[in-house]
Amino acid sequence: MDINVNKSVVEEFKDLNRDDIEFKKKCIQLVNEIKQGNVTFLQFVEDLKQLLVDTSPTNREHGMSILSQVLDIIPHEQILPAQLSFLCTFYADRLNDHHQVIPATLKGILALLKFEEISGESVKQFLNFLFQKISCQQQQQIDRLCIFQILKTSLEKKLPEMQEMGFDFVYGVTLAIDGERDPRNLLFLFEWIPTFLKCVTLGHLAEEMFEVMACYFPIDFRAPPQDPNVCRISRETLSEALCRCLCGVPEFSEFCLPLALEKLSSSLQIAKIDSLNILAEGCKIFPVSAYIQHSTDIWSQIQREVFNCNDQELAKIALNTLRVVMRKLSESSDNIYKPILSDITDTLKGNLLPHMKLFMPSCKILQAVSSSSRIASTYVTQEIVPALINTYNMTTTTSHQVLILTNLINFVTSYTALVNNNNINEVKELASVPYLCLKASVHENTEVAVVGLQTLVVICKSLPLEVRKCLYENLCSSITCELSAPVRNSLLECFKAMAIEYSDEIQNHVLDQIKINNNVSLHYYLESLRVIVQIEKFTESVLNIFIHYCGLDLATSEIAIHCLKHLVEQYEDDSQIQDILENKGQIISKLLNFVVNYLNEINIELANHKRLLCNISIICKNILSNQGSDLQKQIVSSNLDSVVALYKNTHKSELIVLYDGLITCLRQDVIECDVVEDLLNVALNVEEEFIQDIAVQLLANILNKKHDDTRLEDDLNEIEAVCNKQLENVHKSRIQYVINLISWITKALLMRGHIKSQRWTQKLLTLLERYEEAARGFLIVMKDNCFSLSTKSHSNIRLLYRQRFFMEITTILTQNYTDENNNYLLAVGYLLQEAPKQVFVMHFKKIVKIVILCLEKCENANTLFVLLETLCDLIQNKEPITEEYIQELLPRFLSLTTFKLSMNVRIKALQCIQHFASGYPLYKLLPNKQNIVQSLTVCLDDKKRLVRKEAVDARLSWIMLDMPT
Amino acid sequence: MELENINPNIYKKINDRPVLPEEEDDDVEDEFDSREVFDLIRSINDPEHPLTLEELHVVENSLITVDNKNNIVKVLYTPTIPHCSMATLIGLSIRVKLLRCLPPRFKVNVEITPGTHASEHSVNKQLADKERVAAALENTHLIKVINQCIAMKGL
Repeated sequence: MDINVNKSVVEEFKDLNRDDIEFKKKCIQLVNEIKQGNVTFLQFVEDLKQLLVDTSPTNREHGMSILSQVLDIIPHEQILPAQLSFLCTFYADRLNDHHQVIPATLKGILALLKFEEISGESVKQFLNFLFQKISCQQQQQIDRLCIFQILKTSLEKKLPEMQEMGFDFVYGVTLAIDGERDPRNLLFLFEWIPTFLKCVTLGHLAEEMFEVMACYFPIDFRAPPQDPNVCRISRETLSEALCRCLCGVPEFSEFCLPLALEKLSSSLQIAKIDSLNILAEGCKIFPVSAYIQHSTDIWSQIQREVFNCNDQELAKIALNTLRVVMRKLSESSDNIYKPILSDITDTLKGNLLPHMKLFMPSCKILQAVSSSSRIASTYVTQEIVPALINTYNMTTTTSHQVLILTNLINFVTSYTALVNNNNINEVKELASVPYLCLKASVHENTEVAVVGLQTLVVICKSLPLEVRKCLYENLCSSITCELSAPVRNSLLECFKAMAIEYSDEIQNHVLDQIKINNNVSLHYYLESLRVIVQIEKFTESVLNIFIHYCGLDLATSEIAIHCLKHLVEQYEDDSQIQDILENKGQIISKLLNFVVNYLNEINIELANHKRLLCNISIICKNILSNQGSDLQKQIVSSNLDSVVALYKNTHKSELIVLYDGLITCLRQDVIECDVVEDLLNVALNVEEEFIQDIAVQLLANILNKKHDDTRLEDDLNEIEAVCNKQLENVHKSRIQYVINLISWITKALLMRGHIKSQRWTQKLLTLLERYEEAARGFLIVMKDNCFSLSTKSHSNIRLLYRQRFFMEITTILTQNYTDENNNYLLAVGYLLQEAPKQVFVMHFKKIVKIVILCLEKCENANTLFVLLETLCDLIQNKEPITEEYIQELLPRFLSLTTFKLSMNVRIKALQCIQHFASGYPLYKLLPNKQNIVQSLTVCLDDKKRLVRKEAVDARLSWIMLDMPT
Repeated sequence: MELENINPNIYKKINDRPVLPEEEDDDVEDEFDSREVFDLIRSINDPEHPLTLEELHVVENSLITVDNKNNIVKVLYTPTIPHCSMATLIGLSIRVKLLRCLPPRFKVNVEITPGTHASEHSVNKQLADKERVAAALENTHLIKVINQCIAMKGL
């Protein structure tokens, strides 16, 4: 649509409302015409004259809207300075016009203010008229915002002129703001006012300005969620912005601090928090004298808050404010600051007895004070630390000693941090602290010893040589002996911290001194070394120690290998460690040789030998997994053949574990081996469940990774034939083996999305009709995170294969379910146990029928438990889908609370009921309350205590449902 | 509200009851004992402080007796100071909690430990009077305070 030159502007815009999209488009076209020179700006204004001087205010408004919109988008060079100044006068004059015309005028003024060439005089004129003629708060929200933007832009563009206006400007702004209610405008104002305050002199208007803003404090605002414009604004943003306004200039201090203190004493939580924030924020701007004047008040109020506080968050804010204020006060001279400090310490000193309730709050206050400044830290240390040490020495209750020591050390750290002096021996009050910690670290009570060791870590940079030497002796003796787990963990933390800080001393005084007498101490010794292996200085030497012990006699190596496994697992991503182990230490072939050497002594039926083989396999896997194809080939080719040959000769099933260690983690292009037959044989014939499992999983691993399709086909055919034969004439006790094998093969094929996976799934389903054991097969397939089929073992993993399998199988099971088929219910239970939660939720509606049937009919405690556990999880997380089935599920849960066969089912059912009691709409719950509270009375007298406990929780939750609290 | 006892002694909480193997055995019957009753009331909050009755030693395991055969539970509790005006409220909270959590076969007695409170007898009498307890629970303000005291944390 082109602007018709012959048609006048007035007619063009005749029927357009100014909120119309067309209106804006027309204006843009107009401006384009002016830019191209088809029309001049003058012509345009003259065309508009008819509207601008019309007698009807509606028409005048229309004219002004067009003009303002054009001014807003027109390039500034299109308007000559003379025209601009004429426009300014015209617009200033329009502020006198009918109220209807005002909004458009304001928009125009805002547009004019953006012109660089506008003169200061014109701006002044605008503002004078604005302040005199327009009552800001009588305008609509958007126009008020426009006024505020005019004020802001004026100040930004014409600062000297505005300052010339002096109090008139300040007063005008104050008047305009006074009474503003809209959160959007308020946020705009609060963000602008700090700049405004810095630019002008407030003089006698300071109090008035302050009061205009103080009336909003504290901000109590909750955004109405249905209003999209406002709901983005939160109470916190508003209150933070207001806080900066109230602390905007030093003049405000005399009003601001009393206000904050008054509101701090209110009972309203937000008032307290905001007041505390203001007190802290003010420290940036207000003079220190203001704080000195109110120091007593601030101190006593904060003390009250911390002492009586039920809310940890509030206490934390209060302490932070105290710290900031005390830092501010430290700017004052000593004779003012010291009395304030002594006032605080004297008040709190009496509370420093550890059995009293106020001990902890008092300590926290003192710590806040002592971390505020250097002087405060020194002072508090002098006053408090000796008293605490004294109390520590007198008390015999261990829990109190723990309490004192932890607090004591906080004073020391804030002192060392602020005074920047780690050398605490020179400070009289602190010199004995390291000895105290050292003494505590060897205390017979576990908790004291733990705290003692932890505190030694904290101050490890400040320990004098004498203490260090004692500590090294302790480390030497205790590292190799049995300790309770918490003490041992702390001891190792301490060992590590010292090894980082004083590596040479640790080498000389600890590592070189330790004597290993037996295998028990060897175990502890190696476990301890594991902690420092990542410290560069120790890495190689520690690993060499490990390698050395791995090659000794069977019993010793067993321990060393066990520790090495922990090490490899813990630092599985540390390539340096793996590099040293494999390339320099050749650990894999050493371990294999070790097994070969002791093959006749290793007895798979012994638990420790079984663990030994597993550990070796895990170490191999971990190291192989991260290596590239070439290195893998190199390592395996030299080792695997000899193991395979050995197996063919001896048929020792133990060697399967070594197969597992060597093959599982090979990359897909490396895996080329001829062991399928061996594995199949072991999987179906070896009685040892552990070996059998490894064989089956390794088989799955190989089939999953094999690239060569024809060979894979052959292997699968062979396995299928063997399975079929076994199924025909196998003894019932061995059926589990076959099912296990079939399940794993199915899983391996499903994971790589192989075409044959259908066929194997069908096999599993057919077996389910006959054998209960087949249900477990579905569990195996669904299980996530088995090492043999994972990214670490470089397997083929198709995305979402579990989800797809779950969907397929549940659909089949739901369709084919008949009354007698309990195996189906069992399978559903297993499927759900491992199903990803999202899938379960997504398809809940589809499977809910069989789930409820299961809850009603199933007699198998295990299935019920699994099912309840899954449901419990959904209910606990308040999945929306569960809300729809409250009425269906609750009665079933309720009847299961008295399920005789298993307490675990009863417990889970009760937990489900309990989780329903919160987070769901009350109107859906209340109809059930009476019945549930009544029925649960029976469970309160359950014969098992654990069930009773859950019954109590569930019943209380339901009783409390609609109770006033 | 001014606190009556601003700086009371606090005591350590005892460890959670370990779960014994026989408690996990479906065939063994676990009888009610004093520890089980103690576990029910130890977490009740003090009306004045953000502390539990256990931490203030208002209730103690040793002061609870359970007679499972005759269906009697007796709880003695100790106010932190002899003229504590909250004593009745605390007693009431214990009663209400046990009312809701014990099977109805038990007769529950809640009394002040002898010699630890100025008006021990009148409080005991009030707590033993079923009708007065029932009447107290009709009072919305009172039941609100009691619910706050026995509210379970983290729920």
